[in-house]
Amino acid sequence: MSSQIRGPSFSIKRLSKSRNNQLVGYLYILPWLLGFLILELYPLGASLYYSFTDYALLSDPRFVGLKNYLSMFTKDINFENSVVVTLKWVIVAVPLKLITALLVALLLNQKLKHMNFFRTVYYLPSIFAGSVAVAILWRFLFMREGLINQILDVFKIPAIDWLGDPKLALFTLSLINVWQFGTSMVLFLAGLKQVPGELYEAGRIDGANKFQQFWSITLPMLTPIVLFNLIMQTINAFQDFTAPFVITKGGPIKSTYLFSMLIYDNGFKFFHMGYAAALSWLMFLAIIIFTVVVFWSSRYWVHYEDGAK
Amino acid sequence: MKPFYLRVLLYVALITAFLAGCASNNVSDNKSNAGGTTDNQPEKVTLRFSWWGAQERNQATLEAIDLYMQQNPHVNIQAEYMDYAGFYEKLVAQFAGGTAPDVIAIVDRWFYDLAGKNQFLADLGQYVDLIDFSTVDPDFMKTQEYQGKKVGFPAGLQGAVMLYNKDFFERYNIPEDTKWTWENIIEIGKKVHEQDSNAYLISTDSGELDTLLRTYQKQLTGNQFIQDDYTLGFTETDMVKMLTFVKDLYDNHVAEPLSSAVLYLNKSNENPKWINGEMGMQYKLVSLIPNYQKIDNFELGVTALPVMEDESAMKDPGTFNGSTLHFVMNAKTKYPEESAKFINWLVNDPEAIKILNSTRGVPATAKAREILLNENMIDPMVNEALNISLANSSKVLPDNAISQNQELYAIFLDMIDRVGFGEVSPEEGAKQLIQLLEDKLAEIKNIEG
Repeated sequence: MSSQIRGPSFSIKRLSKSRNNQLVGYLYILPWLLGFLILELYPLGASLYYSFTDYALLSDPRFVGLKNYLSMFTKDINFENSVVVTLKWVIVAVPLKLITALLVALLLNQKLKHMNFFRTVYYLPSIFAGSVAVAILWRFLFMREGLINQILDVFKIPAIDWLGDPKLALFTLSLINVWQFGTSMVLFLAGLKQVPGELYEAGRIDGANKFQQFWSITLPMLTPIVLFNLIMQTINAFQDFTAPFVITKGGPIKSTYLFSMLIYDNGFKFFHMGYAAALSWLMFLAIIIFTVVVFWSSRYWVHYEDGAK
Repeated sequence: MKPFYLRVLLYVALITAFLAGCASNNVSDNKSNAGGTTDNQPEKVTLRFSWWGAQERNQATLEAIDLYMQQNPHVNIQAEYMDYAGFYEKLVAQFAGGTAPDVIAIVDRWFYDLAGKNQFLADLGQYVDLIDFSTVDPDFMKTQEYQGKKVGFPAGLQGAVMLYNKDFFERYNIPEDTKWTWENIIEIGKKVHEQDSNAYLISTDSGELDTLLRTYQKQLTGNQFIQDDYTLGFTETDMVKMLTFVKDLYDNHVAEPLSSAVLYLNKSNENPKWINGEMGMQYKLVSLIPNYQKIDNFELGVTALPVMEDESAMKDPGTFNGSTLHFVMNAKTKYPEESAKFINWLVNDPEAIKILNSTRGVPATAKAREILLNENMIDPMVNEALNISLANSSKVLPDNAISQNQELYAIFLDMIDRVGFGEVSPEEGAKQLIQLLEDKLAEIKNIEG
């Protein structure tokens, strides 16, 4: 077989072989490429176009320029609330999730019996991301006559309106997101295993206690994974939809009316597809800005062992 | 190497051509709606029929479909059914994408989007030789037309009553023939809760409150909620009265707190408090009564919706009456005559009538009601409820399209929630609500041009 050719080649025989390889390569990825172009790139472009139109879904789109983007900030009475609610959701759920993931990963890193079983069990919930069945289960747990209140009743604690109290509902729903910490945990676990043992030995010799070891050795070594998890989980959290949609429908008094619900209602309930598209692009913009900011800040707190920046 | 190049190019060309061919096939399929079917010889026909429902209605409908296919071997009917939740969103997406079914069950509220400027629904008036509309009372049929056209065939009658728990009334000494008013609901409800802090006279959520309040609004003003010229059908004083009723309801513990009712939005038959007999009565659409009769713990009764204490000031009885749903036909169907025949069979054929029974409400045709009454198939309570509802029927019907606009509905619902949770006073709430509604109405008017 021909060897890998680097750089330009002038021999006709070798040229056709490399072109040959390239074309074969494209052929192999053609199914995915077509799927990407038709099912991802085209809808993306279409939605950008629709965001500049009034599109009532049942009638043809009508070009209106920047009207949708302006009315977001001036005419939509639910816009500000949804932004605030979504920010609250992300600020509560993501740190809680990452901290839980880290703590559980630390626990699972111990050499105790049946660790494989526990690892699997703790990972399982994250497979159900976006599941309607889980949302219904949550409602069953936290409704007024639900399991949680029944347990509290055993300890003579009065029932709490986990999902009905406007001040609590958002927090209760965000627990679904936190409960699915499995993917982050698995990554932390992998990262923990890569921390060189010598560092801990050196620390022990210098008299560091467990907490100091964690703070000065483990955590800095984990920062690349913290960065990855932070970005991925925040992107996901911004787009959470199933839980509020299935359980509270954005209530009570819109205290769980996440941005994704705002988009859904505007698109499919009120048939303002153009406006919904504009809202989606705003969210896209927000997520990109967030990602860029975090990446930029990462040079100050992320430590790469191989000296990369 | 040349043959290889050619082969690669050939593959790519084939795939592209295949996809392009598929796409254009779909488009031409939908656009070339057969101008005329050859109904000399029955050609093999496939109709798609979609509806929403619970188990009883679905089973009955499937049975009816089987019978029709037996009687009409050249017709194959594909049944597409699901729960009500999400049905309309799916249907709209289907119409937008050109993949809607041939025969569909719809709520008349959807006429505005589907039949209005968009013409997705066929004018059944063009098929009166195939669909017998004379079996429906002509005055009633007039209220079921859209812009003068027969867009759908009403499948069942709808009305509204207060459904009550007879045991509950006995327990708290409430006479069954109480004439309920907006005032005595609060009085009696307060007393009930004082006797038992777990009991509430009314089971409601903000959705049902919205419908109750619209009844109250019609009684106060005799107008549509939003008038045809897009002005509000009520004054600020009227709205303050309505929102004060909401506040009183919760301040006096006449209804269970919204914070626990909120999870049973439109599902109060699943609310444990109702099932355990801790709540007295609720607003109910007549066609939904059978769902509640399935709960075995106590006996049910029906009575009229609340009225104003001072009946002489009432401008309109207020109670909603109309149809449960309509059968309509996709304007782009390939088989309009077969679809029309099928619709006619569903509503006018004696066998179909007996199979479908009252799963879509008491039938709208006198002929069907007669057949079912002869066979003792109409539920006496449902019949009684319908009569009560008709006796108190509003004269301001049908509800116009703008009053049923979903955005305005959401705004009103949110305000009811806020008053119910005590976030805003009825006076302040009424002011804000009117401002929000008028702003939104101006926007809608703008878009519609």
